[in-house]
Amino acid sequence: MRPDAVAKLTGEFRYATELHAPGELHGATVRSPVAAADLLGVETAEAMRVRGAYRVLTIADVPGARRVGVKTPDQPVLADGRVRHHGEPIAFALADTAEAARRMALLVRPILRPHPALLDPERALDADAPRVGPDGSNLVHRLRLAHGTARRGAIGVRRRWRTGRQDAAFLAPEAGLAFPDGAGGIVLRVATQDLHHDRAQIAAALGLPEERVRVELAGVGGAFGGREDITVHVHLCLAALLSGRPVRALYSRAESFGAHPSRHPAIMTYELTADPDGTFVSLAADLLFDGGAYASTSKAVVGVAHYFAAGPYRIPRVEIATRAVYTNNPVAGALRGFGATQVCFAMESTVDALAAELSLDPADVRRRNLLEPGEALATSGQALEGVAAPASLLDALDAVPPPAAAPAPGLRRGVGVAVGIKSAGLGDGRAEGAGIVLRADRHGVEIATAAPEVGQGVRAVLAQIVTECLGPVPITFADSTSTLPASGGSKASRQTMASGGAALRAATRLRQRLGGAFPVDLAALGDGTSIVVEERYDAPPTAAPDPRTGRGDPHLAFQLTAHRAVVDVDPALGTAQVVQLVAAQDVGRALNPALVRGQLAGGTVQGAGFALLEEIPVDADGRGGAAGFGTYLLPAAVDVPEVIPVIVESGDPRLPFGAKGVGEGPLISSPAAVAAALRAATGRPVARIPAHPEDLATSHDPAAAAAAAAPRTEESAAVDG
Amino acid sequence: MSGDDLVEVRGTLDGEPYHAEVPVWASLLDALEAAGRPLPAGCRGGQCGSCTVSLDGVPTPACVVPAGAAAGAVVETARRAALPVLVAELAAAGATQCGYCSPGLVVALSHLLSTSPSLDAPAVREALTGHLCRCTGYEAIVTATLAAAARLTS
Repeated sequence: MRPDAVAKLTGEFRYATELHAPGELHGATVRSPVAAADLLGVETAEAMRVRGAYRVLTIADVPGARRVGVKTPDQPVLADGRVRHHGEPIAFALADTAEAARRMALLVRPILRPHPALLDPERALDADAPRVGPDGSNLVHRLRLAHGTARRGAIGVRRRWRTGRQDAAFLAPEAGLAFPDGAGGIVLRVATQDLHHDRAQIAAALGLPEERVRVELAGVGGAFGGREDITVHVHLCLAALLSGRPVRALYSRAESFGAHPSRHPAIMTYELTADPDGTFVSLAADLLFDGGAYASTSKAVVGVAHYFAAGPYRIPRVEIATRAVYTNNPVAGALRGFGATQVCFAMESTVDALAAELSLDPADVRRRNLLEPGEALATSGQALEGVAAPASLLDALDAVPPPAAAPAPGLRRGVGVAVGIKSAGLGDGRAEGAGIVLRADRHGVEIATAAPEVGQGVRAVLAQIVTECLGPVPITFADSTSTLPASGGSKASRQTMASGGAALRAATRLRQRLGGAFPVDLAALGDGTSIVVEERYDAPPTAAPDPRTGRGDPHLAFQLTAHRAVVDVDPALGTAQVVQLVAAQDVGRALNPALVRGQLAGGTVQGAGFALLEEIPVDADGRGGAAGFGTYLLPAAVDVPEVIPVIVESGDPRLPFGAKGVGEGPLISSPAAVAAALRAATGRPVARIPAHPEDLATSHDPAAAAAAAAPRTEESAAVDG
Repeated sequence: MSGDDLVEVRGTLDGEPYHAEVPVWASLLDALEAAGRPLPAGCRGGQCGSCTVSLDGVPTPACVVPAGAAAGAVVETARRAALPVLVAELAAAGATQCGYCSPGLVVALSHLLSTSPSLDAPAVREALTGHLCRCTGYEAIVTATLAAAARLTS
């Protein structure tokens, strides 16, 4: 069981949203009302007349680096002469109460000279496009690869696919509390995915050495990639540094939607050809990812998209061109699936289109072309190692019975299947390690880890690894802070591998120090005696691919998934009801099956949400239209009545316990499977996700309306009669 | 009456008297925060259910109840309203991940189990209307609630 389970269920667990300190100031962010403008000044006189007003911070108050960023330091701490997206932070208002700070934020007047905004990513690289990027170019990153002979198959399909702007929509809005440490440094308590990465950016902006900044993990109410970038962090630390007081901030739900990066909207053109028997011959794909106003993690996201664009398939000829561009749209970045989700939708949808063109069963076409373990990925050429046979995941889906009940009268049922693949771990030659400290005394073992518990259950996994090595000793956890050895962050489905590996090493050494017996005898330790073991695990190295050829071994391990979706559609209204979702994933080894099932079910439902409901619309002025959970719709319990996780275990011998990261896998092929089910139900192309009612209603499609008049086998007898 | 006028709220919170002085526009959620008993609050607009409390015996999102209207009411959070058998089943099933939705869900499901002894999965899912969970996909929550119902009726 999770060590935090009972505290969370009974309301004893405390979150970053609830932090307070005596004498605190409250901060509220002044945000840009336009997508593109020069910022000529910030008028604060009226705001400072609010009762309880303390101060308004602007870029002029930043003592250190004016720009920060999780990968590329291109994002101003507060707007610096220019705003590049709607909602960009311009100033930070401080007051004695939260209400006074909010009133101040409404009264701060930025002097803006708007200019034309670049909102269409397809125009971003035109010669006459407004310049958004920091060096005058709108190109964030470009990747190309082309392998194989130029042969094309006899049959081909060419399709253009789009994906929308999904949000992490973690339930706890951004919040934090910063305070001076009394010695010239700053402490920040915040909900984050990476304490050390945050610390580096904060220290740079404050102009302090990193050891003068301490980041402490506060209770995290969900993350999913949306807490990789900094939001409140520097504003709070700057305010605490300048005021000498504790400072807290809490975003509203509407503010949260625009404050962290969303999933990249993507436009993807796929051309897939095959021999008449369905054997793939060639794939040409063009991927355009809208990164919004700042780089964030765009470069890494499109790297994942590029190298998994062809799925886990054998394709003799591949040609992939990938770009991430700057626009004046809201910033896009990390979100569970990290580029692999978008290309899985495009590839799997194209495979279905090709199967239809060939009049072949889509599952048969997949089985014919799926890689065997050990074969090379069509893109990078890296061998697909440490995984189950991809086709075995389709077998796992087939073993689950379809829903028993027939669709209600008038509804049309569709079934869709998709296969997905993504790396686990950062890869690309980046350091893939984590440190950990264990401290044993006669009362038990304390685990000190900087790996943020964001809900995924990393602490449960670490406790389990330590007790597997030592026996059933009482386990406690030290607070996670940036003073501990770096963990590399809770991202890229990596902590079971990285911190799990470190925990295994540390516990093994601790057992040796305690005499080597299993279970260890902690009672033998004297009163006041403790043993401290610090260990580090570094995963097998990876390498960035050769930029000219695209060949290389960039991936640490693979998350391989398959989904089957059953969806009923009302053809008149274009509404869809998910009936059943089955998620099969090769997790290597399920160290904690309950946690793994939770990851599979939760990620699968987020994927169904992406296919059907979840989108931040951006209007013609670049303004995001998600104001709350009434306009940004999350799946409710009744929307996903049956979700069946199927754990496949094919241990990866290169990893501790053979366990691969599992977190992102379930959100890779779930949207594609739902989209396939929608197509099967409606006969419509469903070229974008989320699918809108007009994409599904026969009334919007004369051809489908005519076809709907004829009986169909998958339709219920009541309708046919 | 200006926006700065205050209202005094007294009532019972988890079996103890509580007291808070909050602006007239404040919600019960604001009053509980002022009384030093913050709750998870995902939306502050009645859409996510994370701040659900038992208000005179009825599960209610505290963010949509005017503080003044809750004067004299008996308020119970998950600390007091949680059925132990439900907490045990939810914990065992892995039905809490980030946990931000959990106390509100526990209040609602404890009420459901107390008032509807025979339950099936659709009824549990229906009862979760108004509660958003972003992590679990609901599956473990439903399974655990049915297991708790079975233990309560056996």
